[in-house]
Amino acid sequence: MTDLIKIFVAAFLINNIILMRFIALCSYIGMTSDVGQSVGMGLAVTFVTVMASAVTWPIYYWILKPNGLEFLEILVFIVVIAALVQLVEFYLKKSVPTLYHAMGIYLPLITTNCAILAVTFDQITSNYNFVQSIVFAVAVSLGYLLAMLLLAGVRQRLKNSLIPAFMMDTPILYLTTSIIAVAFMGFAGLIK
Amino acid sequence: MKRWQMIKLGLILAVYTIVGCVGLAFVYNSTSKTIAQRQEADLQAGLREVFPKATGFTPTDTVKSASPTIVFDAAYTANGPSGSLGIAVKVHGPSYGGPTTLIVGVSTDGTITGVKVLENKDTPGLGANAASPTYYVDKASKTTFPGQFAGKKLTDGFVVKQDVIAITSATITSRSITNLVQAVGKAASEVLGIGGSSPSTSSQDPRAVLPTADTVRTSSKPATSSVPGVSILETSVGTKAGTIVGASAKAKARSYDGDVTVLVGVSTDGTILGVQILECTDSQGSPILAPEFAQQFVGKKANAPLEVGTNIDAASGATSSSRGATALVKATADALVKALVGGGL
Amino acid sequence: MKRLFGVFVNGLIVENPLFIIMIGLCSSMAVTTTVANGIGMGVALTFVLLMSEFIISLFRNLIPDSIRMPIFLIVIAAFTTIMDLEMQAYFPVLSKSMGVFIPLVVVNCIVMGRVEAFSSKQPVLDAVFDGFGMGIGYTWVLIALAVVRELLGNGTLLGRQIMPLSFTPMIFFILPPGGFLVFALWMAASNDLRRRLLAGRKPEPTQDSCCTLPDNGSAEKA
Repeated sequence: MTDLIKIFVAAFLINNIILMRFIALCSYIGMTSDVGQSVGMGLAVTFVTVMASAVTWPIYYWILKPNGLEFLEILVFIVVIAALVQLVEFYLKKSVPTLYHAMGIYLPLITTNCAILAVTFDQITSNYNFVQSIVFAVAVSLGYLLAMLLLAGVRQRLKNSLIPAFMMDTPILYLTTSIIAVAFMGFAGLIK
Repeated sequence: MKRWQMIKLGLILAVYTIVGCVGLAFVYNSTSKTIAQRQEADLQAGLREVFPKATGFTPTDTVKSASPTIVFDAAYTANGPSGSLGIAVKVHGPSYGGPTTLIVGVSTDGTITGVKVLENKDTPGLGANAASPTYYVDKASKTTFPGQFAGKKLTDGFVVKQDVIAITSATITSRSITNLVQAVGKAASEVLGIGGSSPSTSSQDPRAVLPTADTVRTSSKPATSSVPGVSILETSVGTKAGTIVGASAKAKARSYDGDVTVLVGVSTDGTILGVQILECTDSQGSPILAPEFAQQFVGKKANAPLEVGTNIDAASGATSSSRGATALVKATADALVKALVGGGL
Repeated sequence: MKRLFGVFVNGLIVENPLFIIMIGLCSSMAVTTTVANGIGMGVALTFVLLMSEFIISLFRNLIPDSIRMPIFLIVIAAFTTIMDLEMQAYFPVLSKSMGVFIPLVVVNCIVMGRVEAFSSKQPVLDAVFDGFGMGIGYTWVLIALAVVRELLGNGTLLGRQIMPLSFTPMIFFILPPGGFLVFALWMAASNDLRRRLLAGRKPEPTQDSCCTLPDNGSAEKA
């Protein structure tokens, strides 16, 4: 149990996927102009990341590894995730239209979202077992959601702030992110 | 027509996939040999680095890791011109950004001959400096982080920021590497038959904590503790000229993230006569093995409160383990007093 | 020839993937703690981009439109794996220090974006020049970031001590917040320069399709 909590805290805060590891920055900048949108994207990523981990872990340990096909990891994982996103999209559209309207529009962006693929690779390199992988996936994607939400909140304020001309648009967002990241550095001591 | 279209698309996709996979298989075949050779060369170079004088290395499987998270990938006996020089172990364990792999050499006289970082996935420019040949923890003497372990005695302290200079802003990396080195040191010293890396293994004799007794016998009725989680392993009774003067017990309990085992001796009037911390498997728990920590308990009354921070000083760098050990000493002493009063020994 | 040169310069400056289109940012900050890593990542991405653009442009008439995405993914993933394996075999140190960012090239928006927007519609030679231009455009930005970060954060360049020994390295620049800060400042400088050069003319809005929703917000189009 302690190791699961450690994995969770480390992936959620200490090694926050966006603020500490710079992964999934495109969507971090692209999808945070509105709080609702950032939450929708964050939840969609959480959903797909957990599903993807639940699929890629067995594929790696039950199919690729026993057959010495580890070198197909990148190819297989990206294709599986792309197919999974398609399936989820079809399913939501047909069966849960309300959820599709809330989340579905983000799904096409998710295939190329680095966060999901990074999570599935990390699970393999860290030798996590299945339960640890799922906890890791949940923690990373919640960390993603948190970072998205933080920037979206700050951007609400930035809209009405006076910003020096040369820092307008994207540079000020990265400057803000730098400051949020400084705050996140403080979590480093949480785990010995 | 539509079905035909689907089949056609599926076939096209299949062709691309197959061509891709076959192409990759060829590349993999040609590179995997190079990768394997390089890893082997790295390993040999690493072994040579920690035992420059060795004439050869023989694989051995006698060295065993005590921790489930620290894995010994391979162990070798370093052969010198006149017998074994020591043991080199390829070991990996968790670090900040993923597993870290090291080669650690331990000589027959209980000295670490060298540490070589084979693989480290920590932050470039910070934790990754552990593997950098140009990052010096001591710029004056050009000592690298792993370099500082060379020549260190296994009996020396291994506390980061105290006995080991940490990499700037990478305490976690520094700690995990130090832990790996220490784990190899412990395991190797057992195989080499050196008197242990901790003062604890030197003596487990109940006599050591019952200095007033002239005879010590194992008790037929072991003391029991009412504190949950504390298991008393063996109880001994100390007598002087036929009268019971005290009792001792070896007890074990969970501590911070491992177990701690202590040996406690109590006199008939309820004074703690002696304490030894025999073992601590906490990840940062080794400092409490120092005799100075156990010495603090001697002379204290068993029925008085024993608390880290008030009347017991924590071993530096291991506050949680100190708390665990203190609670166990207290529980064991209580159990012994109860047993002595009950006269059931 | 002039046209090809235009395509090349386009990626280098006019439509620089990092500063102007703002895609493929992840790796740009993560690996730029040292100049050597920056160069390594730049070369790795250039290789994957060049080869993927070349192959897809070559077969562009044999890729049915409805399944082009999965095919692009397969091609890009194949070249990423090849690059990953070659790096492990011949540059093990570099490969280890970049870790997960090597396989992540597969989802780097630059590759997917250029393949989708350019090489699936253009002749082979143009595609190759575009791949080369974009790759170099990416690489020089990485080097620019890494020079600042390594020099201030470690006092060295390419591992060689540059700053006097009395200089205390400002570790902040190697840490993640420093990465964001250096990128923000470089980008501000680049934007400022661009604004001056364009002198009042409104620059064409550049929209990338892989990280933001299209303006009408419809899922089908994205």
